[in-house]
Amino acid sequence: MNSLSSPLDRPASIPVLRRLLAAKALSLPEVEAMELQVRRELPWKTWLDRGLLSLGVVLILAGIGYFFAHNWNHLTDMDKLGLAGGAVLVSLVGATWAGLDRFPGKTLLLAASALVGVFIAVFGQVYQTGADTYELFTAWALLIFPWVALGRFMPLWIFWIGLLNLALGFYWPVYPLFGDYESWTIFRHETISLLLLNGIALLLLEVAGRWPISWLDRGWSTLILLTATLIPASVETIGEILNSWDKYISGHSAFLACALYAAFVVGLGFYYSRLRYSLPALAIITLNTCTVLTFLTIRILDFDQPDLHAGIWLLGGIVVLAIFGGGVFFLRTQRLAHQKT
Amino acid sequence: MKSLRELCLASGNGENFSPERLHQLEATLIEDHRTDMPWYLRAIVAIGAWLASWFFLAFVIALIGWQDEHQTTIGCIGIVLLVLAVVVGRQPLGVFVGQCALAVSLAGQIMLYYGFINENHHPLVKATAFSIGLAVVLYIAFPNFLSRLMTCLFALQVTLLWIYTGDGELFSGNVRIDSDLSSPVLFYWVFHLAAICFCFLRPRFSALLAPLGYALILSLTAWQIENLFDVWTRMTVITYSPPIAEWIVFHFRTALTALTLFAVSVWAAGGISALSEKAPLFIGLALALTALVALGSGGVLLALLFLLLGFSLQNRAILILGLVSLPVFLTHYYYYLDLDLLAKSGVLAGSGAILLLLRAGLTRWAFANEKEAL
Repeated sequence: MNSLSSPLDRPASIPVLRRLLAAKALSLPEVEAMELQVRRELPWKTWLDRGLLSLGVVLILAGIGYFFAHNWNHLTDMDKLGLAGGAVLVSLVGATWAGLDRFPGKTLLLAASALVGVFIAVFGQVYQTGADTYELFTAWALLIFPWVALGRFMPLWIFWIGLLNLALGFYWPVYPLFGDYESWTIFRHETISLLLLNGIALLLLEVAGRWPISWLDRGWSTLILLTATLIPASVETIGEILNSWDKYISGHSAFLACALYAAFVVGLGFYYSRLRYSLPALAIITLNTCTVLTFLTIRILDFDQPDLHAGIWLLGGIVVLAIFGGGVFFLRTQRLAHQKT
Repeated sequence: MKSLRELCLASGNGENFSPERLHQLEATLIEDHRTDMPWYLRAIVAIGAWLASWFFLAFVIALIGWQDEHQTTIGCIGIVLLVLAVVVGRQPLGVFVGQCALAVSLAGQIMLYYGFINENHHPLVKATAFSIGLAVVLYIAFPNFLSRLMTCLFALQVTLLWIYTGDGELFSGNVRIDSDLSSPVLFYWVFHLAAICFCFLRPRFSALLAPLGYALILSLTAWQIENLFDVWTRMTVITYSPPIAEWIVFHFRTALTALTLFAVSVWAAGGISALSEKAPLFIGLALALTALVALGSGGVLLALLFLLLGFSLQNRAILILGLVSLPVFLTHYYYYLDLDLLAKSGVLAGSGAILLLLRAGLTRWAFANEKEAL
């Protein structure tokens, strides 16, 4: 092993030092002295600075929200619009003054984006636009898009995608594209459209990640988008599986949903194991798959019957263990294979 | 941040670290990395075992029937299952067999509790001794990280149930007198905080006690969340005399959390010597903590404690718990403030402004000489 890939040349950390102590590779005084050194070198300033700034901004935004709630009936329409619009402007000016390349500037830009929502809500109330909730979120997302694009700040992008999720989530129950739908059809449309939206965002992030863009995070934001993609996929599949318990409903759609879900997770698993290795991403995919398989087991063993045999419970427990055990085995195999390469 | 090699060579002028010893360290780390499991993999193992244990429990109940005359039989089956789980779990048979043993052990523990603790009448001391004793025995007999963590968490929460239900009044329909509870509740809170510090701050036994430490942290978070929803206090009557005693008892627990947070801050800054070196900073911290205690924001203090522990120990699991619990406790605190909307608006904006001023002050004076990139 050359010195570049040696674990000794990675940044020292307290968990690693404690593991070496447990393995008796380092003595207690050595570990105590090294821990002290490591703790002193931690980025305390950045941590405190960002923590205080984020929390401070969030509390002030909440305070503004409460101020509007209290004075709603006493304010004139122009006051309401002026205050809401003024807050957006102040945040924007502050962001520009603090510098859009620095954390305080980016945080203020995020605050301005949040305040645009307040402005739209006030506008809708003053002029009685009669807009649906989904229209509010769509307008919000459209209005802030220019500075989301210019902000070069990953949390702002995640916030924007969250708005699109809300817009889509509120769209289907009130305004289906082709006439009125029953609740089951709305559920299907909602889960599938959210899956597509978040899936496309994940795809774009992965494609964009091929270029050296410094602000583009591919760690936690990938995991958030992956989770947001997998949750509607699994909820839809579980819904189809459980819906097939209704004896008047054919099981074909459940079968199709399971097949599509299987193809989807296999594809994702292949990507994150072979093309861009990420064990946390694989763990999220595995946990999601295990959950769907557990519901499939419950359906296949027919736990809905009134006189359930004791053996079914035992079998169910063993199958659940096999599912989760298989998942962990897969993850460990991937980890070992990656370590070897 | 220095590498481990640099740290080793810098310690004692590098005399203790010959090339052979460094090579040995490297080999230990490689082997450790190969066998160790990240926390999220352990979480999947735990979820699987926990789910399966309910199926096994349902199997035994479906087989025997959920009736009082079978209570002892279920308890005895629990003992057999626990012995089986320990014997199998101790063998080096891989993660899957360990997960099966864990599921059987969890089901066995629930059966044991059902079999041998009478829910209508159980002396507090006896029930607590039973829970803690079982956890200690299993901690020693079943040396598996997840088994230790889940067994301890279960025992800690069950002990909390015993404390709040006394000798079984909960199930007999009677309410408890709150003032009778204050001593055991305070003692149990102190025990949690002290044990967390003991498990995590001292490196000597950190590997052995880590599962207990995580269980304590999870138990304390669960307890604080249970407090938010009055899970325990809704079956108690407040009978403090004089009324100031109630205020003291309520704030005492919060004060203990603040004290622990202060102690952990001193430890993170390098020990007692840091107190005099950075006296103005620590005086400011003490004042801020006193204000938080007076405002009754116990949950927020607990989340801050976990954030500090997670950051100073570079422990992602604790850090994430702190990050997740902070908005929960903060939202609950402000939402339930007994103020009208205007006053609440002022308090929120004022707290935000104080935090921003604090940040500006720290940047200007406390960290003026630090060269970290922001």
